[in-house]
Amino acid sequence: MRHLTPDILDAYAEGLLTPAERAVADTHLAVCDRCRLALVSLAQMGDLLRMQTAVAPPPELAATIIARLEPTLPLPEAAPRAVKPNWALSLWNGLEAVAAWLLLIILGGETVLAAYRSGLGELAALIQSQPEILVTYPTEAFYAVVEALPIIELSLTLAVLVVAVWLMQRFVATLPLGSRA
Amino acid sequence: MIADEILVQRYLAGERDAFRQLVERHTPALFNLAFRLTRDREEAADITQEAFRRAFEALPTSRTDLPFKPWLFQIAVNLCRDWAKRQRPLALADLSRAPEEGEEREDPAERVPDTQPLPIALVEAEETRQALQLAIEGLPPAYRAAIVLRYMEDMSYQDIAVALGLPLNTVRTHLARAKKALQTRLKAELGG
Repeated sequence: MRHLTPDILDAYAEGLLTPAERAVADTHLAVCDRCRLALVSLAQMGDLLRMQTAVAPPPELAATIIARLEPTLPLPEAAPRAVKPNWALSLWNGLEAVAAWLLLIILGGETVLAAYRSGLGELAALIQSQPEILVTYPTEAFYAVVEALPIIELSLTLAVLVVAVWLMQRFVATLPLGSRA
Repeated sequence: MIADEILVQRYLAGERDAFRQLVERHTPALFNLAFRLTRDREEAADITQEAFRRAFEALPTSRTDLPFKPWLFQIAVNLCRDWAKRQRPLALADLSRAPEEGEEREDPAERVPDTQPLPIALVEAEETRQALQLAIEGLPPAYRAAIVLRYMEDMSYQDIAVALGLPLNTVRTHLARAKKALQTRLKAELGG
């Protein structure tokens, strides 16, 4: 009769056999007294080993190790951990920033055109040729400039400028180089 | 009990208490392993401290998703290997490999298949515990380390393989042969 090997018997005792391997071993164990006794003996050895007590360290060892190592270790103060680059987020933020700056250019151009259409250019040319107007009729000159300003376009342009700057800052912050301490 | 891996994360976040908890938790086991392999209390204490130093210095740049304990024990086992090389540079049997057949200390009783369990009275006797202790000390270092990690530290075969830097099947073979050798020596000692 071919007996179970020590490795198989040990794996059986430790519960490491697959169901198929265990079934084969069980078939043999049912008819082999020698292997069955060897298995009991192995299990007994396992129990004896678990009953062995560990060798205790000197009572102050852990405290000594802590006292010696703690001052020398690079104990992190909220240590900066490498941040995994999020390229998708960076790309999306970049596209948002580019779109905002394009809108700003378009609105800026529109504001300049609206200013010329409303006569601001002619007013500026008049003041340039006759600067004494500003001294003689300062209030009228001021109101004339204000009336000529394309207020709506100008407001929109300033608002988009603020948003574009904010989006650009957010984009730079999400770049991998910008996120490492 | 807070898992080692959680304490490691806390240590890396700057919590000093996590470092202290990890040292207090693993000092007894590391010392036991180091002492079993060196048989020298001072060396075992030094190795325990050095293992912690190396582990915590390496942690900020190491993978923290892997189990901490087998990795810590791996560091300690490597320190024991270095110690063994310094002590006996020409020794054949070391922690890196199992002894070849016939290379182990010769014990004719080991060649005889062992099938008889010990009588219950002997199992429970203090004499048996002491005899087993001596038998463990007589094992080759590779077997001794596997026995300590499996039965005193209750580590899985997989974790033992990581700690000893050996393939899983080698760990299984080491443990099977170690137990067979222990059975044989124990019976020879107790006259069972």
